[in-house]
Amino acid sequence: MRNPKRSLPARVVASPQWLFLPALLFLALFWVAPIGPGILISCQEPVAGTAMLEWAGLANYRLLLTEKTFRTNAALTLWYLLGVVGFSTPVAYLAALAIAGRKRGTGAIRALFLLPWVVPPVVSALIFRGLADPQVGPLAAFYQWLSGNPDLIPLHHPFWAMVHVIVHSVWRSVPVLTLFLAAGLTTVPDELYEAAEVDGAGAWQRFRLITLPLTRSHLATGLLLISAFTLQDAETIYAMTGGGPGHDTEVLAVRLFREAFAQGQLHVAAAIGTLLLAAGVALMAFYLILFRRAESAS
Amino acid sequence: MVRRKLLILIAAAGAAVLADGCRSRRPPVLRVAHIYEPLAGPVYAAGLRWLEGIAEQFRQNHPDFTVRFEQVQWNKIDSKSMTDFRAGVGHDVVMSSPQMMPQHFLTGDLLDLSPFLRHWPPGAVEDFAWSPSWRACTSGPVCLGIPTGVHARVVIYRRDYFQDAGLDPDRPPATLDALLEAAKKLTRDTNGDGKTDVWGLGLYMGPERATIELYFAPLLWHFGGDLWDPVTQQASFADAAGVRAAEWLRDCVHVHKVTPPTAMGGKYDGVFEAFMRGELAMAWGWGNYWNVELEAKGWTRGLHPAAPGGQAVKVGVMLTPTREGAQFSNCWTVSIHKLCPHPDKAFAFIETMLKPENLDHYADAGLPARRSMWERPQFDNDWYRTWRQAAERGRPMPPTPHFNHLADSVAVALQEIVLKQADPAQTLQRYQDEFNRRYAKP
Repeated sequence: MRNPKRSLPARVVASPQWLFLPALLFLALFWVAPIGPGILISCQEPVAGTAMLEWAGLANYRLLLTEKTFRTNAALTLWYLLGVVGFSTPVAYLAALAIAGRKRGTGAIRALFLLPWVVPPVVSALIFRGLADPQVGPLAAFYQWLSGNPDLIPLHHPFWAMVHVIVHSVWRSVPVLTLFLAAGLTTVPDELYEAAEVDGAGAWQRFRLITLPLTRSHLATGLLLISAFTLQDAETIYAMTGGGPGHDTEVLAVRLFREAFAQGQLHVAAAIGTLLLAAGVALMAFYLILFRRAESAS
Repeated sequence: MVRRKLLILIAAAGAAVLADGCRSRRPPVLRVAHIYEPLAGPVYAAGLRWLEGIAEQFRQNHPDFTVRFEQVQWNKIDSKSMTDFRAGVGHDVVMSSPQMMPQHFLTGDLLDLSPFLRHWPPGAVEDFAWSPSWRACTSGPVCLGIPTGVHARVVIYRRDYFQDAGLDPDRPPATLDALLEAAKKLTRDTNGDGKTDVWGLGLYMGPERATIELYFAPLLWHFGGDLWDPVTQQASFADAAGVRAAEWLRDCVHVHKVTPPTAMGGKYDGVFEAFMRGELAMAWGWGNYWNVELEAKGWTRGLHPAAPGGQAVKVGVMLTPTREGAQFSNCWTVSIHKLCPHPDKAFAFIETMLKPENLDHYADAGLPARRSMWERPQFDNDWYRTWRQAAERGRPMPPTPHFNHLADSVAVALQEIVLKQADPAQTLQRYQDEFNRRYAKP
């Protein structure tokens, strides 16, 4: 048998942190390398008449952060995210409670639940655009009833266009979150519910005191995933509303798409991308804290 | 071990030689980037068939080349050319838009065609140089694109609806006020259910470029304003004329109620579709590229394609009732990408496209690009006289390299003004300031 101390340089043996080097290189290659050029472009601007870019420092960020439209984009992104997370979570819990356990037919129902997730995003967005057609769309009829305005054209209305965009995203997100929560529910021992019932706990108390704390880590992971998708979601909104009416559904990802591909302002798009990345990292940190708290609580 | 490495080396060298051999045997390719949208009606399909015919003619004269089509959405083709140039991705022949030429000049993604044009016979350049689109494509001696046709817009109207409303279909309105009055008379609830079934005037104020080009800019020019100042490179659409233009459009929807609220979104093609369904009595911004559908429906006879004795049966056209020169016209121009490895072949392809006998059959050409073609007898009627006037009175969009952003700014401002009833002056000013802060000369 070979002696590992012999095959490794003495310096590595003395400082075992060198063993992290391959993992760090791997991370650098697949994570930092693609992001680095994006951040670099965000600090540049094009030189007229050439394909070259020149250093611009933080000018693109200054331009965005002092622009009212960008602040609107950011506020809409937050609203979109909160809307999707806020509506998806209770629906997903209900669905997970319904399909958890080994009842007959739950396997088929789980497979059906995944259907919205496997439909290509642009296809589902176009279907939803049709559902909001004021002449024939059933969702349009529902919005008209809800708003009390029979002439409402949902995708031309600042508020209802955003509601419709959120409804579509909730429809896509619920299956994934449901799967995570259903997996979490299977780890909760039945004895806890039985004991709670003996103690006279109601359904809400059982959910609040047992289900929620014990599935919090699954919830955090699921929310992390759908939040990341929601933050990056440009194609479905673009296909449904084009960011309109006005700027009323133009979240940051849609703005990024327009800057890059409709207006050819790659440097500004890169700055938006970097800010979105920062928001994503912040969100990830928030969910990790939630996750750790859940871990320590359980 | 050494032997194994040697074998791998020999195999790799063999594969490289084989790949090189295959590459050298493959005929050179001419990449033609053109507009195509499979869901957007028969004009695009006809355009593709026409291009396939051009490619066939080209192959007969250049058998060593194969032609490969690259299909791009109409409103993405210019930006694709530019972003691909920045990314080092080449094309050969590229269709382009005159209103995007300033951005092409700035980006440098298109080749100057003037060295090729110098070899054209006398008078050939002049045959194209009459159109506003030609002017948009040239700057000094440099020429980046050649028009394949003329796209003009008029107000189309239903003659039968005019008669029903007691209006004379042979004397359509010639001023904005008269147009509005006619639109009020033409707006009707035909089945008495309290809802309007026929709208007097179709407009579009959605997110596409048509909003600025066909609706806002003509009105702004009519009221004496301009979109953009070439000296300071500042947008100027928020001045008093811009506010009047925005108010005029807003009032059509909210005050006079002659324009359907659906005008605020969807696609510009919605104007065409609504007119063809009979929901509009008049449609502002009607493009000649839609005329082929009139013929298919029997609303015109012998006009598309133009034939001597052709006549309009159920519809009529009038010039947009804005003052002379306050109309927009453009076309599809054809260019060569800067990263094209064989520009002489690309220009030969372009010359094949531009032959009069070929332009005759190009469905998306619209109206004749060559002045000499207008003198043919099939264009000697009222219908084509109106179209020709519209083409000659047209002007291009302002030469800002950031036209897409300018168009977006105006469309978004208009949507806020009409949908949210926002104050026109403040809203236009806000978007103008944002545009200028970004692009105006310091």
